Amino acid sequence: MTSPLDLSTATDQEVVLQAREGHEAAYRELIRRYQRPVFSLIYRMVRDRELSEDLAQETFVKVLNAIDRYRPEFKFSSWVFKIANNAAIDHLRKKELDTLSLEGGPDAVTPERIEATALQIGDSGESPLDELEARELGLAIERAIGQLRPEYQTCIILRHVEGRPYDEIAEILGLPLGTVKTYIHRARAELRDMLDPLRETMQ
Amino acid sequence: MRERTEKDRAAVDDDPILDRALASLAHFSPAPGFEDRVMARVVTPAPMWIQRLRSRRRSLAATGRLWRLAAGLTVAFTTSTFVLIGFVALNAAGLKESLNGLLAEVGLPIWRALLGITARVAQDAYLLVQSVALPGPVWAAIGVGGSLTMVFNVWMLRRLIQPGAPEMARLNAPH
Repeated sequence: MTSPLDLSTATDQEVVLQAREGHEAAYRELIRRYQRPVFSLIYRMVRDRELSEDLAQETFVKVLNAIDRYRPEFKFSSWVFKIANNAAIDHLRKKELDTLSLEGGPDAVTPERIEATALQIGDSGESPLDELEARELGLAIERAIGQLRPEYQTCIILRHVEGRPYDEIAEILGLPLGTVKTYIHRARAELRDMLDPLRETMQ
Repeated sequence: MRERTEKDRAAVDDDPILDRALASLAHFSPAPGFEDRVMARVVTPAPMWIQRLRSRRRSLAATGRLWRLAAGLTVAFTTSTFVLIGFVALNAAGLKESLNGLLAEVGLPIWRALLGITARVAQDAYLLVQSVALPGPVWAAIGVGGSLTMVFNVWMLRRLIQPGAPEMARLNAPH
């Protein structure tokens, strides 16, 4: 019998070991740790809340049902993000969409659907003017990210939202480190161009 | 040209507005109850002690039918012994009475007859041995040889019944 472990302070590897021993609490802890990052990554790529939930669920079910096959020499986060990214990319490929809608999700074909799938930007708690500016900037960057190629989107989200190092992004995407750096640079350049109209009002 | 490329690169890498915009990107949360919905579709493994028992059972099963037969016989023997002991304990008085009766009517005459036969056989065997008149060391050699033969037979039998025994493979090999 293994000694009880404080799951909230344990490393991913330790939690995975507990999960392998059949502790349901460990499974729940892994879901709690990664549900927001995984959902965010998928949501930003497919731009549909319901669909993102389904794909995020699929990701977790796949990961947790195959927990015995997880190899501890790799980061657990890399494994989860890899499966989440593949799920989103597979969906986009299935739909044969190579461009993303500015306002709604890639599946949105009616105005109601566009409204429903548009990304919701939260409150930042700043002064009304700053808040308006931040909101405008937030919407602009979300729209701009939606226009990037899927692999650029993944790189930018993993780097700037999840704060993952370059080598982990390379591992997640199965790409050479140099390619990841180039993708991020190109993605930033594209985003910069897309934010140009805002530049004058901000400065 | 090169200077311009580097300038462009620096502009992309150190753009405060872009950095501010990227920093404003937040996490989105799935709808409440996401964790439960996932868990409803996840098959959690059995606790470790059950996993160990299962793996032990698997390894036992893999060692062959003979072990299962032996285990079955052991279980059957143990169970029947306990049942017998229980039966005797519960019916001790009645059994004792009927055994006494049986012993007096049947047991004693049979016992006496067996003793008579054994004594006669032993006497005949002794007379036979005496009539052959072999020296002591020869009898000792016969005894040791017989014991060794018995041990060898048991050893060979054990080898034969082991799964994958080469002797068995040779016996089963097509001619």
